[in-house]
Amino acid sequence: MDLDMSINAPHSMGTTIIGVTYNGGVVLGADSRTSTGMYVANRASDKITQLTDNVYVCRSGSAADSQIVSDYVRHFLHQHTIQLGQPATVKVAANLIRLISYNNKNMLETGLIVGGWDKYEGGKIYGIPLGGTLIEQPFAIGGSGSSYLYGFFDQEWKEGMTMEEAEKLVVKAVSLAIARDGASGGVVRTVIINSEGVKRNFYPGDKLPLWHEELEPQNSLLDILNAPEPMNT
Amino acid sequence: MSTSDVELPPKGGFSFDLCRRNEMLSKKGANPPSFRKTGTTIVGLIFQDGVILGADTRATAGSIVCDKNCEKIHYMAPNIYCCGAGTAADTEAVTDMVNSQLQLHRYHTGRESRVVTALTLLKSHLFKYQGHVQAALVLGGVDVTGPHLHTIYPHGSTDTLPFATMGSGSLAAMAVFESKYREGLTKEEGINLVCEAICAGIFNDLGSGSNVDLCVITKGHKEYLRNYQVPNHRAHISSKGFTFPKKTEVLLTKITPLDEKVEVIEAGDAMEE
Amino acid sequence: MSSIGTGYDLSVTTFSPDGRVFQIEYAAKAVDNSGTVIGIKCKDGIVMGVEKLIASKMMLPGSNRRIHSVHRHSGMAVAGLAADGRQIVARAKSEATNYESVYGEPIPVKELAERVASYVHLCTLYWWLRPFGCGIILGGYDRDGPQLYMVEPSGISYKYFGAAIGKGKQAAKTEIEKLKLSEMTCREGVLEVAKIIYKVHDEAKDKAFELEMSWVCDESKQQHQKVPDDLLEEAKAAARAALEEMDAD
Repeated sequence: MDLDMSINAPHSMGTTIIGVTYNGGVVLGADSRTSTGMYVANRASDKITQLTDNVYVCRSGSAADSQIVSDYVRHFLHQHTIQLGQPATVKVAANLIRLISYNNKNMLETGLIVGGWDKYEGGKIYGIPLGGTLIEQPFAIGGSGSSYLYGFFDQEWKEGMTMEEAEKLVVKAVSLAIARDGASGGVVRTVIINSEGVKRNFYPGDKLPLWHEELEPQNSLLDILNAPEPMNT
Repeated sequence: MSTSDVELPPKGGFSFDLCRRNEMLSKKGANPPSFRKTGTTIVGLIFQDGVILGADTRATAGSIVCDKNCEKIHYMAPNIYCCGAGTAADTEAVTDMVNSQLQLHRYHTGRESRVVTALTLLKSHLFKYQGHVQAALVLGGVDVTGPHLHTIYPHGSTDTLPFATMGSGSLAAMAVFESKYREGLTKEEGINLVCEAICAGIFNDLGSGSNVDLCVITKGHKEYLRNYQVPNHRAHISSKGFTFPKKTEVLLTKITPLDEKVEVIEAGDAMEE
Repeated sequence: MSSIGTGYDLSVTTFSPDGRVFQIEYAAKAVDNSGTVIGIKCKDGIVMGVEKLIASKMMLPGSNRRIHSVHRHSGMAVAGLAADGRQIVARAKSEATNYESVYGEPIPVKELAERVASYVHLCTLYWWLRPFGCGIILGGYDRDGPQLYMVEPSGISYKYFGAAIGKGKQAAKTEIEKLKLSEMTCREGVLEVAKIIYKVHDEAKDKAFELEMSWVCDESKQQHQKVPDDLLEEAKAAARAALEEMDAD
């Protein structure tokens, strides 16, 4: 994928996005960097958007395309929920996203991961990469940072994790990808969806574990100069 | 009913027929005229009572400054303003269009416009034209749901942020914001910070220059501060005025001021049918 | 018995002074003239049965089907004008496949019933269309369990646990009410449906009839299908035996 490296390049999300099922629900995770060419346009973006109360989608690729697709699907799902009289299933949400992605494949450039919980199937993750394939998976990874995570997941993924294990896995994976992928960075956001509802968590960049050859976060000189007492190193 | 008889109205969107002609011409060496762009530094930030928008005032056509004091903060609604960077015609047209749509919407609903309404109208229009309408916008306003600040990119993607910068001077301005911004700024602190950010753009970016425009929007109140700071006033103007070289004789001097004052006289009776 | 409209019954877009649309009521009469159709909801599925009156001795058994599959998991039994019924079935099939291609899951029975009812109602709104002269019993098994709906020519649709339309509907309804459906499996349900149909069939007025039955239940793996031949024969035999017992009294 050739990116025009000027500041006028289309707004794209380099990104690392992850969706993982666990025993009782799903955990979705993403980084927060949106870049235009080589400039970070938004260092704290929220790439996990809500489709319905119980279904969320992780967005990657072109920011405009992924925002528009999720807006359309949110609209259709809302109507569908009213018609049905009960919450929509994750499968229906994923199918609607797939239809838009597939039927407009020439004009769109966006990879999405749909995850949620419904009372019939429990927690489910569906991956919809470029082109509009729909594939149900126990875990899914996407975005430019995912290249660095295939081996990691092959080793670390287990069936039937608890919620804490699953979230830890997701945060660890996103922080590994941030360490190696230039187009991913910022903070780690996670969303946990289960029968009880939705919980959003936030992990600031300087609280993430340090990997090989990574340095401690340095305080800015400005903070040191303005501090009333001398800093202890 | 044969389709050839009915003249179909032109479909919406661009007609790209002339693009091939332009390509052919530029290959032959005839370069197209450059657009008037607003090189620009535009910024916005949220402070404790609302939103402050700031912009420089230089408009460039290629490498020439074509307007030293243009207005980049556009009115959208009594409580919403929008700064525009990119092709000047595009920013003017798109903000004007959405301004009209918002006004009609206000008449329809009888309510104050909301910032997300303006955001959705702008974003859908820009996405429809797939980035060819080159308008990068910073939209800010205060409505019933509180203060909001959004950035809108030419391809139609949007971000919601507490502080934002756009345009060629955005890096310089963002550097200022990143080091000095904090939540809960007062109005004076906010205005100072915005001026600093715009000045960073004015002095360090070639595409931005001249003066600083500000707009402070709070609940139920707005202040449009045109030319709040003029750091680049013409300092070296000869007091004698323009003198003709080579001893040309001046026969007659007549100075006509350009701005005419038009007086509106209230008519006595109301119009009758 | 029935009041003739005298002037207010010429078009389906005319109300009578007492607030009735006579054309729709006449359409319902057309349904009442056809063979009985019943449906019951047992604890593990739906059973539907049709008393198919045979017009001519030369007709081959198994032709002129009155029960149609709409989708893998649902089916419809039609009473009234058979040609009208075919039209509704075609529409239901297309609604079901369309829903699945947009939403990626089989159409919920409630949604299907609503769409069929809307379509039937549509034809009661315009003067250039006549109402459908058939009643539908729709049975299906989706992820919320087995459900049974009935759609009338006026476009009303209700959910039932037991429904009957056609000639013998009153007698059939009384019989169904006697059954304990919540404890019955579909296997037992098939036998009961056969007995009821044989019972309400009027030997004097109509000559021969063919019994057509279908089910959708756990045993058929939630697929709508004809009741297997051996079970059908067993049901017919049991029904005939029950009739003789009654006659003997």
